[in-house]
Amino acid sequence: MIAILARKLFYACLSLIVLSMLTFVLVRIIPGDPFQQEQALPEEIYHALRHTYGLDAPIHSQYINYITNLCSLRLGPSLVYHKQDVAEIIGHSFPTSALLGGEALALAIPVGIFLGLWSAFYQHGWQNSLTHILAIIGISVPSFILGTLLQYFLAVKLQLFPIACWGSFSQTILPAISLGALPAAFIARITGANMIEELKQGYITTARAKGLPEYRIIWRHALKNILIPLLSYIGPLSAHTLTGAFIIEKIYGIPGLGYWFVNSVSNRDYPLIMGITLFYCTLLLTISLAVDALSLMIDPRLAKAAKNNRGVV
Amino acid sequence: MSRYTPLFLILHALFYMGCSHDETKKTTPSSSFTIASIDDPHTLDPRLMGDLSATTISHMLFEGLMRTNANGILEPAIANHVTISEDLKTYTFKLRPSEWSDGTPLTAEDFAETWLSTLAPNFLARNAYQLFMIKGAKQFKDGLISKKLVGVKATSPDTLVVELEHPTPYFLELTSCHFYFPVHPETRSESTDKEDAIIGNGPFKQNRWEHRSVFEVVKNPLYWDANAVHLDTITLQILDEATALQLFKAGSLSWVGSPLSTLPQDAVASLKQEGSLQILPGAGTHWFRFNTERPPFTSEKLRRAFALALDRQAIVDHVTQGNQRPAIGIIPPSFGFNHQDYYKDHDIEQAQKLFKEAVEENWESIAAMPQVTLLYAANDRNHKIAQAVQHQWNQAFNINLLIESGEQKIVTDRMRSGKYQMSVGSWYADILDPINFLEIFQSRDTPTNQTFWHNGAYTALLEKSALEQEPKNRLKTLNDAEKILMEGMPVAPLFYSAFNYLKTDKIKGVYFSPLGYLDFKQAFFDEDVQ
Repeated sequence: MIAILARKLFYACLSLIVLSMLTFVLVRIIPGDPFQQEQALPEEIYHALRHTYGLDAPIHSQYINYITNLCSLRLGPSLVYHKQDVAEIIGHSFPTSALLGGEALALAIPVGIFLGLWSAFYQHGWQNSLTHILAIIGISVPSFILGTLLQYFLAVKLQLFPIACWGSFSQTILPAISLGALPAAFIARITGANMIEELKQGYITTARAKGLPEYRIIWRHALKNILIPLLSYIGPLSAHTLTGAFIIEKIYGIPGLGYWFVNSVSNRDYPLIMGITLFYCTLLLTISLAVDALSLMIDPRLAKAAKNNRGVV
Repeated sequence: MSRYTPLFLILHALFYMGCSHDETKKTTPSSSFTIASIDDPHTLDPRLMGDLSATTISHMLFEGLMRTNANGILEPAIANHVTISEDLKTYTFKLRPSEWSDGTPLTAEDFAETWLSTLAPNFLARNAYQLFMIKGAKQFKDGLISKKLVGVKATSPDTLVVELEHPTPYFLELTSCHFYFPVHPETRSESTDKEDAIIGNGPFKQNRWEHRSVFEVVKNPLYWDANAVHLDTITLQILDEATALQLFKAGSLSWVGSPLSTLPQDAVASLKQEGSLQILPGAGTHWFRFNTERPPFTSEKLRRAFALALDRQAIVDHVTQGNQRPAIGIIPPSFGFNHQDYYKDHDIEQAQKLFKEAVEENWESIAAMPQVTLLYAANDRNHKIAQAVQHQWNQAFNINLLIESGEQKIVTDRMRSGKYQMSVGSWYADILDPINFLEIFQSRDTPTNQTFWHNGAYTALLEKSALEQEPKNRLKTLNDAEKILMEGMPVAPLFYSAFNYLKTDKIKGVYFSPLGYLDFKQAFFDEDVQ
């Protein structure tokens, strides 16, 4: 198992390097730079700014410079927000996104799994149809529509929650629901579909023949086996949800990472784009590694299969 | 996401309609003012500022030698008294005793050193050119002379003497602008890497800054005129425009819209109808730029034809709907610059005549004329303007004009490198002087002149205006220059900007500068207003 994980770690690092190179080159290929604006700067100031931030150097030396700084964990300063370090920006906006994402996941995972199990348990009843409809709505209604609707009806009209801003628990509820709805729907679908398949397996029939109650069959026997596909979905989803959702942050005035990510691109704030991309990627790879480790622990067959194939799981 | 865009717009439109009957339910504590801002200030150092939220903040945290009061009148501020020499080139400022917010005394040396630091060759101040009328400033910036030869001297702790290259009638006004504010020695020394607690000398001082969320200032008890300051706290809440409008309607905000944020374009009409929309003419002009070096707009007649064919009133009435004024010239009326009307709005007859002549002189037939594409930065308002003028021009000239939108930076990059024919654009002044608009086109290579238009007589007039001693003559020279510009028509003026915003009726005494900043020094809540 350790060998498999070590190999995965190696690939993860390799992906990170390739990604950093690609991002570095791609953002510089896009026309425009951080100092270009409609009310153009005096030429000498424009060139001096580019020189100060090293943007006039050849791209490979800029990259080497960036990587050298990165090795000593320096992500560099933002080119747009004066005296603000990229690490600092991530440092103060990520906890907000993580808190919001954490709440959304805390809501989405139990609700999704419950709905999935419920629909599988009553796979021929109205419960399954209801869950199905709810999941379709959750998947097809984009978060910004849901966010806007929840804000309008629950906060503006009924005044049950604050309209926007960040600071108290009550301000996190509506954005967490808006953000968690889509993952909850997906989780419900994955759980439901896999569970229905699992319930057709021979060992389940055996268990039923032995007279075990249905809820015990699901809870004690079948659930473990559907955890693998569920984990492989929840892993990347967690990274995605924790690192911020631009639209939800925008609607609810939340100072999270999503805004910085989107705006860094439109501002051509190169160090910020690089910093957030690498941060996001590192988080994603770490979570995938953790998911792999968990999957291997839950299902030892995976380790065996990997050993036999000497391939990637 | 694009396929959801119409639905998103409809939902937002429903929002505004649905909320228009809401009454303000909560009351804000009388001395605490909250305003929506679309972005964090990019910097708190007045020498480096460029964005509107930072400029407004600079007037809270800092004060220059002069200040514009709530009625828009320029008054002595840190300067107690100003003497101007007969040749209008030497200004002697007597400073009143005042302190920085950390209690250290503010001296003439602070002003001199701040200005010199802005002008230092290695200091990347975007607005350094605003100080170039000071004697030797440009040469010092270019590294040609030493600091000692620059015409700014603190002859005593309370006396600042400034020598100018040539008489500058708007120099006193400049000293009320953020790029002339003093900064604390600690900020100048660059010893601090953080801006989380900048020391200022203004009516307010920084209290807290939660990035992308809240920027808050409180009354500065050490400010020399602290008795005139009534607000205890001003909070900038960073919010999206639609959310800000919701919060305003719920009574949680005292001000939304310009200059720190925008109002959703779809909401403007209904807000205007219900009578809550506030409108202030701004010092900006929206226009279409022509690339005068790329066919077909190499033809002056064609540029004039396009400018004359525009139905500006229709665009202002039906597209922008924010009470902008159709532009019949470059310089907005808020400058008090009496220019003549250079053309008639929507003069179709003349436009068609010019168009015909231009086509005959250059391409013989419309079919041979190059395809025209209008480029614009993708945003709600530009989309609508582009579609409206596309229709107007197609109708007027029976052509097939194309419109092309792009991301702001991409459009800017294309304009800079001349890869466009015509584009939607605007210019907002930094100072209330016509030169601010006219110098855009000073020469072909002026970076702001993306039309590449140039005219020797025009350049000569601008140079002459700089040496003019008599303000009246200077204005006449500038007027003559504008006339040449409007004949060459490198830009087709569309409308003069107007700031649209909503504010609580209780707030009084806020100075909203046409330049786009707010000054809260004399602001107060009038509790008698219901």
